[in-house]
Amino acid sequence: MHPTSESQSRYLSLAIACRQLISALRRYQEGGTLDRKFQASLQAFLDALHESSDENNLFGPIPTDSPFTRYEQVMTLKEVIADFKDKEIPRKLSAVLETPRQDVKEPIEFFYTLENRALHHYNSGLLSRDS
Amino acid sequence: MDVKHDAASLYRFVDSVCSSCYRRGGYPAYLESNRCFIDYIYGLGDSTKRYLLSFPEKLARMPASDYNVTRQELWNLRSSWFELHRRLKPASDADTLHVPYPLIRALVSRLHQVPDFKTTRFVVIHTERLNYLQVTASSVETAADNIAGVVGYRRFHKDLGMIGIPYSQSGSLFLNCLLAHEIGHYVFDKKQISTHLAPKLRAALIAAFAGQIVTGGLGPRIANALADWAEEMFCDLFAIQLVGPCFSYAFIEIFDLVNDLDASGVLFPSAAAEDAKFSSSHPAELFRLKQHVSLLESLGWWGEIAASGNLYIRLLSLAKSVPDSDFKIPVAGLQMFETSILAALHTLMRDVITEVKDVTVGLDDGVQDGSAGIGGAGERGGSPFAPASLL
Repeated sequence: MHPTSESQSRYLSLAIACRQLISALRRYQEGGTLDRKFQASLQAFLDALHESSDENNLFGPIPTDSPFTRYEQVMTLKEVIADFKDKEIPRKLSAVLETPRQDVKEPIEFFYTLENRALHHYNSGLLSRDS
Repeated sequence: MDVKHDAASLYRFVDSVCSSCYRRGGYPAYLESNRCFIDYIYGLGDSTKRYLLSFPEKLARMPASDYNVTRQELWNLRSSWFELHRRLKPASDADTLHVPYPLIRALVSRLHQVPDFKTTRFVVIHTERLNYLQVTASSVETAADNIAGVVGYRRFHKDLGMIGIPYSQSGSLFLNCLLAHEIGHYVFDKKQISTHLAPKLRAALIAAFAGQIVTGGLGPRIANALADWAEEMFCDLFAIQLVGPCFSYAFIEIFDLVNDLDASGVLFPSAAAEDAKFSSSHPAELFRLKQHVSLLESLGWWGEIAASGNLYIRLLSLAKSVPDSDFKIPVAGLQMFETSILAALHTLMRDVITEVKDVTVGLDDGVQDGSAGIGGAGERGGSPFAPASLL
């Protein structure tokens, strides 16, 4: 297995997961409902976010098949959540799952930024020199 | 904003990728799985191009405040196409004259004995590096499904995996037994073994690190390394279940691990010390061999092969007795927690073995049916190395 290629794929998986969440949030914003797949994906995201910020959890999210749990994904998530620290993104996203008709403008902006950062990381490997 | 230009640029890129999918008069000939992959990419490209023609109009209908969120979809699509682009040329290079078709057919036939993999097929791709690789099943599938979801095309084939061999080694029956490890990655991915192992991995880490402080991003790095090692060990042990000791022999050969022995056939300390080191992504070679022997013993293979006097068996015997304290993790940050990390891995290995056994229920181990020997299938007195059903 080629580690660089593997890391790149993990960044792309994160970007794709963000795009899917953005699409679902936009449908919700336009009056649609949240399907089960979206709810599971958002819950996986919230779990990873909680585990990566819990000071009593030494190891952060343990790698699973979720696109938010590998080292590269966790670090990217931490970078972006730090930029949004005043916007209470975890609380707003939890509210989307619990209460109907929430304002999702900021969550969409958050996932847009996370997707953007992940795509930057993915693409930064494309112009590297061959070792 | 002139997004037409951006959409046209991606259109040209996708068009050029798809042009390499075109085959004149059925030449070159491909394995059915490779043809299926190439045809899928061609169809996905067609749908993408149609979607790109309509994209500027879609963007124009959006309120200005949504411009960037919508515009970034193009970059996401482009990156997903980059991921497929990386795999297309190696797949189209691997025509039937350049892949070990009979061996792959035999491996897949063995895999079909494993529950849930009765219809699995593999696209074979060529790698320029002298290594064997499994293209993470989910990475191609995720990229393809992402594009398909956006542009309105069918999803990627659920039973299609992808494995890579060095472009020059299509004729090497022996080394290509390493493909069994790559098939293991596909199985690991499809069966979501990392999700099964996660609670056990966490419990093993918590027990091994009791009372210790791990700061910053080191904790996730440790968890990630352990998860990667567990996956590699799963794949090694799965490969042995699939093809028997010939996997260990091929592993020893490709890494030239017999170099660890001195002229009298014992471990040469400075060479062996290097092969006792873990990297951040892979377990130490001697650790892997030690686990190989343990499984070969429990399957009954070891009794069949141990009497052979060849150097590979000699090395396996010696690897079996390497003390755990000899294994090192010279990776920055991880080194200071070496003892605890290895203790966690030691605990986790029991769960990895259980996962391998659970997944391969239904797959005969090949020992009882008369093993295949170097002198011919089932020949007693030869040097057995694989289940007869494989060859």
